[in-house]
Amino acid sequence: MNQPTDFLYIAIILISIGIYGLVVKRNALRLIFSIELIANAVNLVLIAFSRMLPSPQGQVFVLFSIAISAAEVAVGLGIIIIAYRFYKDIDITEYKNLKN
Amino acid sequence: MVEVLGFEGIGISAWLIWMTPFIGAAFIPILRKRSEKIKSYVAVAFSIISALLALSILPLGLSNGEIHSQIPWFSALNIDAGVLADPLAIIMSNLVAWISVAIFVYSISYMHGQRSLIRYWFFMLFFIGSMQLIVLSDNLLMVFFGWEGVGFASYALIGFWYTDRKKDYVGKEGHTAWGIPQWTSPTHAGIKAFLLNRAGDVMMLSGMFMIFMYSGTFGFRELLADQTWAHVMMQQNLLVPAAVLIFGGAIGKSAQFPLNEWLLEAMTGPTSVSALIHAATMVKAGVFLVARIGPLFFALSVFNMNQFFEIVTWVGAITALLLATQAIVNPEIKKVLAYSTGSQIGYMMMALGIAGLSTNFVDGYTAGFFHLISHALFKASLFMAAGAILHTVHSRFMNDMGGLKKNMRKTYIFFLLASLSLASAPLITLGFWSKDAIFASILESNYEFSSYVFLIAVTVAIMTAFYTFRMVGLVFFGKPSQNVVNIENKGHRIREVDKIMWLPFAILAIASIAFGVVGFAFEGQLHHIFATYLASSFGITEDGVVPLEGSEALQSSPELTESDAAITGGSEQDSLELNPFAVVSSVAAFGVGGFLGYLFYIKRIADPEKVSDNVVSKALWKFLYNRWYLNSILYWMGVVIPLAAYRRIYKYFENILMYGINPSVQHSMVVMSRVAKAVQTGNVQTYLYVFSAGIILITMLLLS
Amino acid sequence: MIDIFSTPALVTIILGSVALLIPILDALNKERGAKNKVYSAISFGALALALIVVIYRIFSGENLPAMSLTNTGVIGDDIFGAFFSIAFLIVSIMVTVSSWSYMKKRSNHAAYYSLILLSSIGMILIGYSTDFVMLLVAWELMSIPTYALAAFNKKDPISNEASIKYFLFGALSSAIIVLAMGIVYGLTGTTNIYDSIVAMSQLNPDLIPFGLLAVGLFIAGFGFKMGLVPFHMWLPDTYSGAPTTVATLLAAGTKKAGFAAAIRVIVIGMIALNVHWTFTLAIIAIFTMTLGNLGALTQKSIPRILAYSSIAQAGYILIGLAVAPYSDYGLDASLLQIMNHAVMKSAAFIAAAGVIITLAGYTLEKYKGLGFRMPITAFVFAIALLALAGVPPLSGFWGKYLIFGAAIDSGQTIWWGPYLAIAGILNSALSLGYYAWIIRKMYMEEGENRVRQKEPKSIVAVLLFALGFMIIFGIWYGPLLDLASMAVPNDLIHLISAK
Repeated sequence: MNQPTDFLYIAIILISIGIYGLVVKRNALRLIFSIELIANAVNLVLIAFSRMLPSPQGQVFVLFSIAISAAEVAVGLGIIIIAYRFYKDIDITEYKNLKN
Repeated sequence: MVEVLGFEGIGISAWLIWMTPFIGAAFIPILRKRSEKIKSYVAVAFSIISALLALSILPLGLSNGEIHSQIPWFSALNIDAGVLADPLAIIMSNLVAWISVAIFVYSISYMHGQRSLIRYWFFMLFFIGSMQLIVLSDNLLMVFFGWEGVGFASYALIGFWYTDRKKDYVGKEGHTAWGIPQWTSPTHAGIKAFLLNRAGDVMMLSGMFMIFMYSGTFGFRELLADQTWAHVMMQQNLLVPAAVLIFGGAIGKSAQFPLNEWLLEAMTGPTSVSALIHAATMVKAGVFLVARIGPLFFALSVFNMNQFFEIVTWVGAITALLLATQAIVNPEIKKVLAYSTGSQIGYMMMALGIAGLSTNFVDGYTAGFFHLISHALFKASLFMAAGAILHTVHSRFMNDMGGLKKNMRKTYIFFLLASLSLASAPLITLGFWSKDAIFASILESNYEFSSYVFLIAVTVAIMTAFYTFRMVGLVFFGKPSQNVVNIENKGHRIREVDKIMWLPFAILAIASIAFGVVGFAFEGQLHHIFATYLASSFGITEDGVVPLEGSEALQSSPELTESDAAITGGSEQDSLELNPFAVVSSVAAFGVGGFLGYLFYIKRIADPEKVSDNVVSKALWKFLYNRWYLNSILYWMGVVIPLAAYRRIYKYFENILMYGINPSVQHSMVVMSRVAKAVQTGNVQTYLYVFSAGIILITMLLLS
Repeated sequence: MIDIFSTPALVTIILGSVALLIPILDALNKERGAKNKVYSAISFGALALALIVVIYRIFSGENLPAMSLTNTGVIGDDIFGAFFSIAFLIVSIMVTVSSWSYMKKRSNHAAYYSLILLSSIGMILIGYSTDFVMLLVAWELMSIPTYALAAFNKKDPISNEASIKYFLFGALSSAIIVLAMGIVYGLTGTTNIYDSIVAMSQLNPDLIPFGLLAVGLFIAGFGFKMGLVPFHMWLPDTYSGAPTTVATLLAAGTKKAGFAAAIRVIVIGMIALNVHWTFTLAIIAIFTMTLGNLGALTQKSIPRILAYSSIAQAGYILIGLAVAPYSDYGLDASLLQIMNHAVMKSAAFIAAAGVIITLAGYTLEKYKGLGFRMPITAFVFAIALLALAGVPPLSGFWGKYLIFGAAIDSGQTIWWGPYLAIAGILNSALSLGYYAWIIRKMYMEEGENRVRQKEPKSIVAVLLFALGFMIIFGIWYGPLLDLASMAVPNDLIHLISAK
């Protein structure tokens, strides 16, 4: 169970769930969850490889990645809050002013 | 020899001479809201800076130094941009720069109170920048850029008064010849100038590219150094045609036959424009081009380039004759001056052509260039003075002038001085010496038809003297015309123009006489400068062409200093002697023409109208007045018939294309565009879906 | 360790300190928005200083390597980075100066300028980075401020929507980029770019599909920023929705940063993999060009036209990348076009910004008769459009000419090179359709009136600079091309692809 390759399989599953969530779900917050899911799956991949190689660079990479994701999501959430103020709704299918 | 790479040291001056006016032109529009004074002063300042830079390299030029400075341009094609300031270019550059300064100063007063001065100054500065570019370039491609620049500026300035008010027209209203109206509006004149110049430009471009195909370079010095291209082209009989095509550009720009018709209509522009562009500089660009390529082609003396030089000579001769005859009968002052310009340029071409047909290249070359200098001086002066007269009398017709001698003394004196130079009054005017030089070189060439050329030259000289005195007489002598009387009656006194206007042309007129007094020495100096220049740069000496020892050797080598000594040591050989026959002919021509003109127009012993009141004279007059019907032929062949044909063909194709094919192409494009647009649904999820699908696709594509 | 006096470090310090200083200054302000002009001025000063530093370093005579591929540090001071830094700094300067007018009636200037500076640092570091981790950090440093900037018009729902779409895409592609880097790390054991390239070229054949997966993910991740099809869908909405000066930064700055990263990683990397990957890029290029040009043809809003046009231009640049291994000057031409396009697109967007400020409109109808109402803006806009279309003697012509020339040149080795060039030329002709349409609207149709409007001063200044740039480097493109060739190691390409 602790084989690094198992982690890779889990990561792949998580990524697929994430993509599914991105494409299907309509709530903006759910989209952000999905993105976070994908990001964390990727972190998992990195750690798995770091374990496999073995090399500490992967884990260092993960630290950076976590910090950056946090910053990113912070900004994203801020934008969604403003969106909520406009539409009173965070259903992203409502955001259709720009098209064609 | 100063060989400079890039912009170091003195090389920068040569670059700045042509760049400064362009910078000025870009700068002028910023002064949009400022007063007229500031705009004018800034423009004049830029021209003075450029002129001072030209002056700074003048000593270099007079001592046979040169600046050749290059920077890479189209590195893929191995073409470099560069300036070549050799004695020829330096002298010309100074001439252009300082006459421009004079005319700019004159413009301050002449264009006083005009609207859209920014446009005027912009194009004037753009013009002198382009002109200096032509003069200082070291390769044909940059010359072409400058060529186009002057053409563009000229078109814009000719059509300056584009609102086409009646008083800005040229020609007598209602005058038609074979159905073609002979009076033109500024806009029409601008387009005509542009098109005829274009025809010349196309020829020049073809010639340039022909040479480029065989030589791989546009540079003047490069073409001289390695002459294999010439050998190859000669074998395929392409060398002379290429040279003639380049000369075609000169024909267009210098208003020679058969592209001469635009110069007359160009008089719709402000007189300062006419002075600058159509007397002193742009029309000389063609002569300058011939002066640049003439020695090059002459130095290829292995080949018989006589055909080329013959064409140059005869084009010049025909133009000189053609335009001089028309000047005799024209009633507008600016038009007479325009005809005169074209005719005098014909002289210059004659001289340069004859130079190529003689063993002694230097004489004709010097004569042609000497005439260029002297003509620039007195013609610019005449045009500016004419502008002053136009300002005062408010009419362009000489019949509306008359008797102005009394009230416009200064204008009269300087106009007279410059006219004497134009008519070649003996011994004291520069015009005399330059024309005499041309006569001498024609006589001394051993071209088999030189006597015919000489005959034409003398005839034109007689006519020149005649129409010059006619002009002076009609404007300044006799009784004031009805127009003048009307003006006086309305309360505007006829009086002298202000200082800023008459000082420039006064200076030029006096220069023409001052240099004229020492004319022979002046000519000698010029001859010496050119002899040394041609010998050291092209290997052209009095005894024929000696091959240069390779370009590096030009820098400093013991062999060269020896031959240099031989050349300068032989300076006794290249000093001038007066050709007595030429001198006598010049004086005689002036005498005959001048005397006739004097009799009829100054002394007014007889009314020219009555003297010529017979069938033959009337027919001749009509023929000349209608410009030998050449203008009409040009319009019929170039405008009326093609336009009619074009309309027929257009209608035919319109039916097919417009209402057939075009809508379908257009329609399909629009449909495709709508499809492309429709993909953007606005829904993020669609986007994300496409993104993911895209990743998968790309990966699959890569893996395949 | 990073040499503190190397160019990227210096630039980061200069820009970073000012970026952090501005919010502090703002916090110390008693009165809201008192010192807005100061912020603009010091941002401009910092950017100008950084530009001078970069240019000085190039000409200081030191032998900078073309691409410091053997560097084991995280950033390498090379001409490649310097070239892109110049482009980014010019764009940032243009954005900052034009923002002086654009932001006049808006609030929160301190955050705005600070974010622009931070984003610029990110872009510059992308050009200089030699390590994947550094690349990721720089990438995010560039992107995150732009998410906030795109939503800067807090009162405008359109701006918000633009930013949401941008953010979602951006976050997703960041994750994908990290995934790709992870896979490469897993295959090669190192995060240094060059080392991993070398290792990839010696990869166990079984693992090559994973390598290609990584490459595909990289193309997706970087392609999002570059606006390649099919990763472009956010672009028209975001460029037209965001505040126009921000759109400039996006179109001219971040897009080019995507190319910088792509060249460092994908092109050089994929050469090592020695597999027929260029064909994929060629296909993407054709789709990108065509969709961009077709989409622009019937648009009614100027920023949207410019957005689609950006997509198409990215396609042209990609052609150069696609034929890079087969042609001597493919990459040089792409770099040249990158620099040119940065300036041309900035000029176009900033002209549009000028119109929005003065006439409060961005539809094509509002542009009618602009030639009379805002002559300078209209003129420079027209020149920029012609330059984008590739009309000589403007700078855009040379970029396109060289790219298509490289494509034709590569026909000696691969069959599809000349077809790429033909597609490119046809697309250029097509693009002239809508560019000329805009120019026609501006000059040959009558607007509401003929009254001369007052054009915002700083925008005019920026436009005149761009005008000079386009014309001068249109006539004399030599220096730019030389710099581009210095930035790309020619021999390296042949060296690796000869394997």
